[in-house]
Amino acid sequence: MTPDRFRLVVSWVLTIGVTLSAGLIALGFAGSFIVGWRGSLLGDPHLDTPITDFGGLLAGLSALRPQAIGQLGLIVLVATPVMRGELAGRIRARPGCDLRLHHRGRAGHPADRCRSHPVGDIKDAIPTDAGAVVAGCEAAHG
Amino acid sequence: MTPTADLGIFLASLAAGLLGALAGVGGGLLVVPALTILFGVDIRLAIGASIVSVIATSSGAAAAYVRDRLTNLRIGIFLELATTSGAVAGAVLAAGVAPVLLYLLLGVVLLLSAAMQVTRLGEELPPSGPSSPLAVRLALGDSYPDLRLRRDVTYVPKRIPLGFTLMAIAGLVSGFLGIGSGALKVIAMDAAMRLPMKVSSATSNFMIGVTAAAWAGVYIGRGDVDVRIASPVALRVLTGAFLGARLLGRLSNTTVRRIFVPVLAAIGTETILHGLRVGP
Repeated sequence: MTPDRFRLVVSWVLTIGVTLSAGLIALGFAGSFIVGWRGSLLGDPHLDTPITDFGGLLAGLSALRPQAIGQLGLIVLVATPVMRGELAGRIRARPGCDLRLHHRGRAGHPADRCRSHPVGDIKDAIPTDAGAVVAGCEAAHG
Repeated sequence: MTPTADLGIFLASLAAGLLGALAGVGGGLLVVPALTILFGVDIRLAIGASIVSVIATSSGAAAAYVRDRLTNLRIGIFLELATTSGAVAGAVLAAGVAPVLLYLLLGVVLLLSAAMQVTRLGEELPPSGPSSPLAVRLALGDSYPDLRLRRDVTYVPKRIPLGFTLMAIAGLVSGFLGIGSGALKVIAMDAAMRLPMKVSSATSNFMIGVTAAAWAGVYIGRGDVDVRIASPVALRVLTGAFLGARLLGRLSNTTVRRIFVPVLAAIGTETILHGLRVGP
């Protein structure tokens, strides 16, 4: 995976996580105006468990309770940076992946630079011009 | 709930997201007092909502910063090793240390850092100099497209061991006190590692989400996150973070520093007041 692609993937994970969580939170918020936080959009009876209890999430979702929808949105939001960290760790752990600096302007695609400077050669990784980018070598070594 | 209080919390949440995205800090500085003072919300629930707002700021802004190459992913991931280790150690050791002393110490450090930052208010980019051999070995240098300067700015971090140590301390403080310590992270990258201010802020934003997510799990488990409070705060903070993320690239590094210094001073003051149990 090239560094630009790596960036794009991380950015997309964050964007999808934030958008999904915002959508769910907004849905729960809108639902609370209709039936209240503890009510059900399917007409089930109101809950009497504490509003801070996330334990009844699945049951709440099946009854389309705004409380549960909002809580799911918060959980997705909390999980977003965790997913991003997990993804970054997995990508970096892949064999042959070595993120380093390369000169896009002189060597064309970062992967080409990777081929000419395999893992272990670091001297040419020092940026000397404005085109320096972080490059992942997996594509080059693949 | 009065319309004035509602407007106050709306503006405070929006400002928290905006300032958090620009300065690389969480934004709890504004959210907690607004919720406790304007809404009379229980401090536990206010902190629970604040933790969620930190994640909203971090993830909302970082998506754009990563895409726009303002975040140095390699430095962020590398320094997360230090902050995570420090946070785990802090959480384990927390029982044996008086939090009041830590709050006071942290507050003083932040205020001193703010004073030191004042001397660098006019510095657009860090002065060039020999890069750290460790930075070269780990290939931590990068470049970012500066919309203000209309060119790519290349940088290589300096004093990596010092930056790593400061990050470990930031993690330790997070573990002890349950805060994001985004301000310390920005200081470590800006003052110690001499990264451009915008890169420091964007990379700190990228990092604080992970620390806050760990804490959010604890707060959710303890029943300190109320969906009725955290949901509207999160939505408004996200909006502010999106606005901040659009702004940062267009601002100069000196402007970002001018925003960061008062935020830093305010966080330092609030931390001391919290230590003295005067503030929320």
